[in-house]
Amino acid sequence: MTAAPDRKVSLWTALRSPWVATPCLLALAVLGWDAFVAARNVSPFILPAPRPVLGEWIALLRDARAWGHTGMTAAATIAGFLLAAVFGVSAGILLSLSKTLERIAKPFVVAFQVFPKVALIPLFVVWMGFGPGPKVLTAAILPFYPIMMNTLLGIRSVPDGFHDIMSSFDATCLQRLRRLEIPYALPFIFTGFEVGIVLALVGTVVAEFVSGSSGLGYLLVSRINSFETAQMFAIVLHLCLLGLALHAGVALLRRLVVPRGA
Amino acid sequence: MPPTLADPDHAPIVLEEVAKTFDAGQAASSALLPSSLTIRDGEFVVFLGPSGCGKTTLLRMIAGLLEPTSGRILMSGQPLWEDGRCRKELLRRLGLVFQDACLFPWLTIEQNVLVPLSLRGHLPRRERAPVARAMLALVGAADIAAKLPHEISGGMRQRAAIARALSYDPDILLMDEPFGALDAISREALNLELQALWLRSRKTMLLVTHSIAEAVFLADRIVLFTPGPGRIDRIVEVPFPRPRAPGLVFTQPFQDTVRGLHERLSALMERA
Ligand SMILES: Nc1ncnc2c1ncn2[C@@H]1O[C@H](COP(=O)(O)OP(=O)(O)O)[C@@H](O)[C@H]1O
Ligand SMILES: [Mg+2]
Repeated sequence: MTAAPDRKVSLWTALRSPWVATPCLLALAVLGWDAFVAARNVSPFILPAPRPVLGEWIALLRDARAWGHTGMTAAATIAGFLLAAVFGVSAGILLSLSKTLERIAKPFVVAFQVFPKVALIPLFVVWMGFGPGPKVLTAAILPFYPIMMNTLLGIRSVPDGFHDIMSSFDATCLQRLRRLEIPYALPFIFTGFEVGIVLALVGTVVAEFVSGSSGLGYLLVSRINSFETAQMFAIVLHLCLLGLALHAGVALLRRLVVPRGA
Repeated sequence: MPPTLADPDHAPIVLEEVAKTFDAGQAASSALLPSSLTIRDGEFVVFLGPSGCGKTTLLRMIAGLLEPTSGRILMSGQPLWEDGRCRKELLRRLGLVFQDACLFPWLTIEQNVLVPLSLRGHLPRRERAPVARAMLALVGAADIAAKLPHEISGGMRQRAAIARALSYDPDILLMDEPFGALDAISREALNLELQALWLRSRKTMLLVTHSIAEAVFLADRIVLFTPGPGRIDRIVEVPFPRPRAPGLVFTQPFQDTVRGLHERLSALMERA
């Protein structure tokens, strides 16, 4: 008599755990997709069913050339992200040094942010040709702003009391930066990195749409052009997993770098 | 008894008509009217008064964090502020403790205590750790050296903040409501600890509080502040012998002193 309500409670508890709920929701979405395609009799050129997409994805995993394209995309993304990290953090620190500097630079920074930067990709191709240059540059430009702004926000968030304490220790500007502001801002900076790595991937893929003859973005466009919609979906799935992996990499780095107490 | 020598050349801190006005747009507001005071070597001075009467403002000026609008602050006869700049070589004679412990959350307590030493490069790295341990032991916090700030109680954090301020052996300890955020029991324990520390080290101590009982228990002299605008109302000598036991607070003379200060503060508040 008492076992039944107990089981009900534990089922409910299990459903609320993200390890159960998330896969369940995912399965539900895929089933819904499958049912929709079957019920409406959708053309596979418009929306293929989940099963053929999965089949194409497994085929993609077995294809060495596809891995080559994956490597190209990943490499351009990571290179662009690293550039954005170096320049974004440096720019954030630079702006934090002086309110006046921040006020002078702000209009340019905002203009740069609101401008649709991907519109410049054709120009990058003119400048740098069809190699990895335009991809890396685009992957660097998109995450620059969030990384810079998070760095600035983190440094600005240092409580006044900490600054007073550092003043009483007669700390130099450089000591203040190294011992207080950067450690304090690290969690903020890593939040910028986590947003940034995903934006870097977006930048790379869009640049691959426009230019070049390699990378997952290029592969995706070529599949669309030959009406291989299921393959295109497989590449989207593949990109999704690549994004997750890159994001997980940054999250892991955060665990290693950001100290326990901060 | 502390030395009562009031020779301004040797007094650790002399305030000469020190005043502060904040520019808030068009309306300049006076945070502290011209105030004078001589703090003697090894003395325990308490600034007492309600909020907004300029205690923190004055302490920050003495700490070299805020420039006086007028007047002079002398440390052992040398002006602390010159041409709008604070003289850095005088700063290392001051230790600072705030209501918020301001410990860096990413460092252990021991590393926090060592921050000023490593910034100033005073001691070779190898000799620093024993200093941290000794300072923590001095404030009764020897066993938290390896902990992170968020892992310990508020009282322990304040002890660590005091240990950090003491690590470079300053002559003067400036404390702004250091126990203001603590519960009554931790506060009493820390008052005793602070008195013991003062008796042992004979450093000059300057403590800000708005607790009358805390002021009477700790002070050689209480500087009574009054608001609207902030100024020094009077200076009260506290004659109780040292070391003062916790039971002192229940005695008649102690309570008379507290009542006297309380009545004076009430009268000042009514007038303001
Ligand atoms: N940075 C500041 N700018 C403007 N006014 C200030 C500033 N700091 C303090 N004040 C004002 O100066 C007065 C005294 O403040 P404070 O020294 O903090 O008093 P207390 O520490 O005795 O509570 C208050 O009226 C406060 O509003
Ligand atoms: Mg105050």
